[in-house]
Amino acid sequence: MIELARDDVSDEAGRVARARNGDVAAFEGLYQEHVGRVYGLCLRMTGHPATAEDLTQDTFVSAWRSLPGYEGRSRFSTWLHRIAVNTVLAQRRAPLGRHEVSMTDDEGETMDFVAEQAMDDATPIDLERAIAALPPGARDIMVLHGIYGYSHEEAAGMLDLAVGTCKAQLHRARQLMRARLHAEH
Amino acid sequence: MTTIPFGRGPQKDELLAQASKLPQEIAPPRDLWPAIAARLAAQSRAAPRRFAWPAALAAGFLVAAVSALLTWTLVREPDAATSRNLLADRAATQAAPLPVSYGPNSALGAVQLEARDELLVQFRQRLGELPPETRATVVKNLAIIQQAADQIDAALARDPASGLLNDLLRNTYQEELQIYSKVVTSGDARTRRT
Repeated sequence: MIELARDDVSDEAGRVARARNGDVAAFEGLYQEHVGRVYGLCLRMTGHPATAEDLTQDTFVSAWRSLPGYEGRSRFSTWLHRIAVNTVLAQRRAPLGRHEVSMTDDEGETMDFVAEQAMDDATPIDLERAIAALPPGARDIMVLHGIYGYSHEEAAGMLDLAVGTCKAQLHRARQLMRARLHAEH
Repeated sequence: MTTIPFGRGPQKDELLAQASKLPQEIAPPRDLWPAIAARLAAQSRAAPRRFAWPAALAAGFLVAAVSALLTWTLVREPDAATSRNLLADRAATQAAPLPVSYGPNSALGAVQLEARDELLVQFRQRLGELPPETRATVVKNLAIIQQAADQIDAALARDPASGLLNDLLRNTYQEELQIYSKVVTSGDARTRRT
């Protein structure tokens, strides 16, 4: 994960403290600092840009509501990402909220993936596509552990899974990705 | 295009190494702040920020007592007086109870819910074989758990990252699974007593 310089941490702590007291401008500063990572997380977990936008908004609104309970025991980014993951998982379970693009059919076979939006020109799109094509459980752990650098223990806590389950899902993700990438080359 | 090596041994970590180099930040296609700010303003007008934990905590403690009482009910022999007293409940408990519904803020994973689905099949089969009074107890206990799940979900709406609330949610879900499990295995328990 990205380590913040001491001044950045201090600035962030100040913004968090002010936001806790209802300072919307300070909270906007936190939004500007973290929106890229939160949107990236939501986009990769859902594979759907419009849904990721909605979930990013929901994440920051939930964070604003929850700030009085944030005691600083974890890094603000970790706390915020936990909210984002909870928001994605809740949306995934909602019967009318399944905008997520499923990359597998009912038998678990991979379906064709059509990228709706290239993430940026430098993105290795084949790798992103391989991650997006994973089944949700395997994709979640690949995103949190592989891209965002969370340990198995941290990712398991965010996803409310056993550490062993996370490791098994990562193993499955690797197998599926290798198979897909091998087929494309 | 990035080329990913394939194979076993040291190369298998190459995939994770490549994933770790992907950009963590992706800019959303539009500025999301105006919509967020509008929602924050609407919230501020509607109500001050505060927590709704007490009800969730109370519901969580109630759930903790459910499982032990159910165990007692399942393994004891039904007596005639209790059967008479509970006859009025019979009509209300004939339909198989629905599984507990966890609200939009309760982020239980698909893997966990799949485990419940598998257990539910056996639970529903066994439930129909239980005496009416035992069945009524099961339904009432599931209603208590549903109430707790609703209270915790409401509290999670205000504090979605709360470790305590998420622990309560997990405990509530585990209690629900325990009820199904105890019903499924109740035939075995009664056999052992005799």
